[in-house]
Amino acid sequence: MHQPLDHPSHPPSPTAQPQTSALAVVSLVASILGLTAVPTVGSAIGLVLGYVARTEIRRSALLTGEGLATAGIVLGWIGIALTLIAMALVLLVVVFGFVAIPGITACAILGRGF
Amino acid sequence: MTAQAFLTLATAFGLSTAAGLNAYIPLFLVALLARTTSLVTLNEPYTALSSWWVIATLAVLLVIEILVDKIPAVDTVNDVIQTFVRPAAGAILFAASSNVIGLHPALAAICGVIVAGGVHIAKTVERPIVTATTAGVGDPIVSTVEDAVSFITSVLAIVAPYLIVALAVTAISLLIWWAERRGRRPHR
Repeated sequence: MHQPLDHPSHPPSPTAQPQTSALAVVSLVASILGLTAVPTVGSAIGLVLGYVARTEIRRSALLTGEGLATAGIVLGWIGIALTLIAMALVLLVVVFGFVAIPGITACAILGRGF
Repeated sequence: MTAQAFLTLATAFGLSTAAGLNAYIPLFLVALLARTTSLVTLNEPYTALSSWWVIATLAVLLVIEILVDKIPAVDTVNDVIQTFVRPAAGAILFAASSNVIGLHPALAAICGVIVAGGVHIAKTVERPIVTATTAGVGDPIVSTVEDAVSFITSVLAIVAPYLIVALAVTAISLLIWWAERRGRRPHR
């Protein structure tokens, strides 16, 4: 009784065609955007929708597109991982730029060497 | 030096650091907050910063900078152009915020140029490395994180400068600890 509620437009019938999960497609698109135009936010959306889509597809007999959902999840995780690496990198840039470069400049001005 | 003067300097350092990552985020925030709230008070001649014309111009430049900085290779060209803008923004922000405690404008400008310039140099060196190692995929991500850090640093510098002091002390301690550890290693 779950099926008709979730997909009112596609009631199960003997002649029903397999349908690609819209969520899986949106997940993949969001994850790709997460690696291009909408960093981090796109990846997070793609990741969540990917897991939701995968559950939906596995529960349903008619929905396909598990490969798309998995691709969305994998790309989503890559986006999140890159975000974490970027955070560490930017922190390093700020610390280095704030402390080391002014420090070296000061040492050079004072003629003390580093 | 009074506690108030100390915190004002923390604000100045924080805003200049933010300007090194993205010149327009701290400028826009300071201009807008000076115009609309009492969080930021600007003295002459820096009150010009809070005119609606300046705020609108900064908003346009901010949008351009945010977009351009996300495109691989274009961001590196932009960084070269910004070599003049970011230290200048750092100088203006440092001078405008430390003006209240009577720091000499020239000294304030030099401090701003060095801090914003230092962060800018580190960022300009980092970006082509990111482009090369990630085939350009990393550029928009790193740029987004930089914008976020610039925004958070600007806000903290204005509303909670003591947090800027805490962060700076932590950063300096870490760097000294790292330099010490390197120094103790036997020389080649």
